[in-house]
Amino acid sequence: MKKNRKFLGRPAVTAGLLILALGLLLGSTVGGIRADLTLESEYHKAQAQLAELDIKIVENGKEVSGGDALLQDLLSRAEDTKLRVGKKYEETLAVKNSGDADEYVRVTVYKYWIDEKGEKFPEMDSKWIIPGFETEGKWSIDTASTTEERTVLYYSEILEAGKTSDPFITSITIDDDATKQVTQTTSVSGNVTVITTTYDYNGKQFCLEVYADGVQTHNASDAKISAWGLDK
Amino acid sequence: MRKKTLILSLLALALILCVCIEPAMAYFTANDKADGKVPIYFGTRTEIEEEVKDFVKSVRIMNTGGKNPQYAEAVWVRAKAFAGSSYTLTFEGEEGWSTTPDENGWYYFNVPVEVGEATTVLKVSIKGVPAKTDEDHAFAQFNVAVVHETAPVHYNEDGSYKAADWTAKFPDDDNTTGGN
Repeated sequence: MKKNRKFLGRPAVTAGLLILALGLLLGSTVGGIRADLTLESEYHKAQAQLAELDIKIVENGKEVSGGDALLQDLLSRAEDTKLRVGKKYEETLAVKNSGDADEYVRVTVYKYWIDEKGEKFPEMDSKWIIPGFETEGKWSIDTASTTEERTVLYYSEILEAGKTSDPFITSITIDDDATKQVTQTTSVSGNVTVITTTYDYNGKQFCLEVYADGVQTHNASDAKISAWGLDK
Repeated sequence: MRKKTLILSLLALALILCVCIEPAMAYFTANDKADGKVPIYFGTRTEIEEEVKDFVKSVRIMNTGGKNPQYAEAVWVRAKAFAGSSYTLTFEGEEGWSTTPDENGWYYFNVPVEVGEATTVLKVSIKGVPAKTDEDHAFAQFNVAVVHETAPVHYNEDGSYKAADWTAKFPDDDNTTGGN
């Protein structure tokens, strides 16, 4: 044991061991560097693009969007200067998948009256505004979400990219009952008595608002629940 | 130690929240909106035009349209006349007028009167006037009153005129203008 200690304690032995350790270290590094050089491959470029989801409202074959975009030519197409109560006016509304990915779609339609200042006029019944909903085909009304002013419709099929849906509205009619609220005044001029009947709703405006929504088809069930709260 | 525990807890919470955010951001949606409005206009103004000659009053009812004729509407028209019980009134209307009155004495013009147009003439003759009485005196004395009523024109879905509804009740139900 003393001999071993004495041997290992010699400076020459210590130096030798140190040189050996350094040599092993360098040798392992070189091997690793060589391995890196041999594993390096050619440069490859890959590109990925996300599909874009988009939707547009289509009125009488034309895409429309924003305020005062709908109903602008309702009367002129029918060659009328003023709206005729009871007459069914042609008005076709649909949606178009203007993106590059298929989607499920729904629309929400609001109908109500406003006064001359543009403020909502709840005294007039929204049921006097009669949109002609097309529910015999691919559109169906969600009765649970629908109220007197709001109608929610879902399209039963996937709307493919670039395609336009079937129409969900094809006409608009204003009911006669809108004319039945009147005020009468009486005036006398000489031998003539004049009784004037004024229609209370004269000059009011009916409004139509349409919201179109599209949701991805991948993981559609989860997407519909997340975006629409729709569990089907 | 407490501080370290707190920091670790906050980090764990942040990690959990990050995990929860991902599912909400995972679904692609699209939306669009459009709206529009159309005004409705009702009402008009009608005036009666009279001409007296040979104990016959010729009456026409005109749809003048009132202050805003571009927004006024076509109307259905009916008319009748009143006189003292001692004298008889007879009616003869030109084309468009009914030939006999209803049970209330109304004569009906069968075509809607558009804004700016008028009915054809309805002649009201008074019978039994003494020979020496002049025309104006006769009518003033007997106070022959001609009244007319109008009803708004409504339309069927195809845009054709819907039959006049004279049964609709307004609050005071006397939409008349009268003249001697």
